[in-house]
Amino acid sequence: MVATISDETITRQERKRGSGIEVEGLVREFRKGPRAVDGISLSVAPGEIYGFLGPNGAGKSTTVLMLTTLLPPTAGVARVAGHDIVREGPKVRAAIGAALQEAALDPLLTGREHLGLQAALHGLPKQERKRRGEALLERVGLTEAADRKVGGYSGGMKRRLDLALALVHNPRVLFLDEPTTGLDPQSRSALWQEVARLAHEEGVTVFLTTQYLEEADQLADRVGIIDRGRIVAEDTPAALKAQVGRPSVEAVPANPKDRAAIQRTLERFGDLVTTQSSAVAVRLSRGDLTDVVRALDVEGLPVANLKLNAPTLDDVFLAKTGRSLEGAGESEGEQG
Amino acid sequence: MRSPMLLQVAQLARRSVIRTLRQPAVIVPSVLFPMLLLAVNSGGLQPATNLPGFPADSYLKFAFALPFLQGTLFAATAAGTDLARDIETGFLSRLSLTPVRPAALLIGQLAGTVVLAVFQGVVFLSIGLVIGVTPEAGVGGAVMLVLFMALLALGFGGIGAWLALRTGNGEAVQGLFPLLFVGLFLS
Ligand SMILES: Nc1ncnc2c1ncn2[C@@H]1O[C@H](COP(=O)(O)OP(=O)(O)OP(=O)(O)O)[C@@H](O)[C@H]1O
Ligand SMILES: [Mg+2]
Repeated sequence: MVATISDETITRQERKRGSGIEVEGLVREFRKGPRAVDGISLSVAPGEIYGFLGPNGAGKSTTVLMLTTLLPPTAGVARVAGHDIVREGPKVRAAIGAALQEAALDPLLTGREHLGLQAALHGLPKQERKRRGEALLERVGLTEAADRKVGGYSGGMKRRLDLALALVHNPRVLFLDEPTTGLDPQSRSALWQEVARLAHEEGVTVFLTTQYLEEADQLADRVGIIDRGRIVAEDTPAALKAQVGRPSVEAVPANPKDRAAIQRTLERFGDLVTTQSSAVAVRLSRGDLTDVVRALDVEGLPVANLKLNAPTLDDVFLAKTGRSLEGAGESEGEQG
Repeated sequence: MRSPMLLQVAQLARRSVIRTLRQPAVIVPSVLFPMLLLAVNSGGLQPATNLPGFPADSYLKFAFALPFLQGTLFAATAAGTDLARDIETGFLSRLSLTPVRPAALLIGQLAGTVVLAVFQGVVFLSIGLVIGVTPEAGVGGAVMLVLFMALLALGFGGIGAWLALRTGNGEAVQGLFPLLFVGLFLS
């Protein structure tokens, strides 16, 4: 299923000579706006998957646009695949593949035509173009839809074609801006698998933005959490969660009128955590689940559901910003 | 590995032509409207030829020049709109991440316009033949006329593309073109 690419050996060697990302104090200001990106520094090792996690309007896309040379930075320096993003634009562009937030496709062209055009513009020889196109269509599961116009594709199909287009020239560094937004669970895990394969088997460096905790958690080797243009935390998902430490307990009252009483009882065991539902939750700092159950029983407060939640990246976000990741962007009235 | 300019132009031109051919909603009005205008004009304004100093003996002949101009403007508006749409959707960003040269991009984009203009030219001439208006210089003149139309479309298309790049917005291009049309008439 996976094509053997003739220049694979060459790219392997090139990859060894630095295909990471180095960012130092990157800033982008828009006219009459806050600093969309406010002094970001990070580094991504070759072959690593870096997850850039943040709410709407955090500055994820702006960062990606700068790193892919599509938007000049206001200040700061960055090297992608060993090349300066400002002074060596063409070299950076030759080394990277990008699937931006809006799948930028031509609704009047077919999937196969897209791949043909992209491959030709990248200067692939004619026979190679065809072979590469077919292999990529196969890899993203679009062989059957290849000759249909993209205007009739589903959101998931467009995303997958977008990924295939980003891979045409065998890039060493791959930028994916919210690649699974709008995908069904099945397509999402298929894309995760493909991204993991690219990084772990082919050594492609991946810079991926997401609003999904689960995605960053499952896929990324390292996660940078961005909020209002600044990185507020950065580490492996496990280490980030360990920083937060204790799990939380969440109780759903059986009778809504008991809510306040349940909250008072739970607060004896730790600080209140915001939830989206009717549930009450606290981060455990005294006692454990059995103590909570006993206390609720003593008070005679029935609960419909009681859960122990291991710490999540959302807890990390909450701990660092005082807000929950879900809805953090909306509260500022911003949209994607 | 830089693909040669010619290949880039050819590839982008192919795309532009494919796009045009797949949009009957652009092709049909671009031929139909100028012809309707002609029908309306020639029906109602024939007496104008009796005015002293009128340049053509038959108003139909005079009116027949209009569709050519209007048709090219249609085609050129389409070119500008296409480019603006590419900016809006980000397709242009995708292209600019490849080693494509800006000049290739522009020439390639205009290819669809030229094809549409040539098609219009041929249709108008055929209709002209049917209703009895033939270019004075015969076949050579007809070819010249079609070529002229292509050139005109290229020029207007270039303006359209420039507008698209300046505004990055399809509606702006569509809005500005009629103004240009009016401007041309007043001059
Ligand atoms: N072209 C622009 N002009 C002005 N302001 C902009 C522009 N692009 C982005 N911004 C602003 O910069 C901030 C960061 O936007 P950005 O698109 O990078 O966020 P994001 O993290 O990608 O959000 P989302 O998850 O919604 O895609 C926002 O406040 C946004 O309004
Ligand atoms: Mg974004």
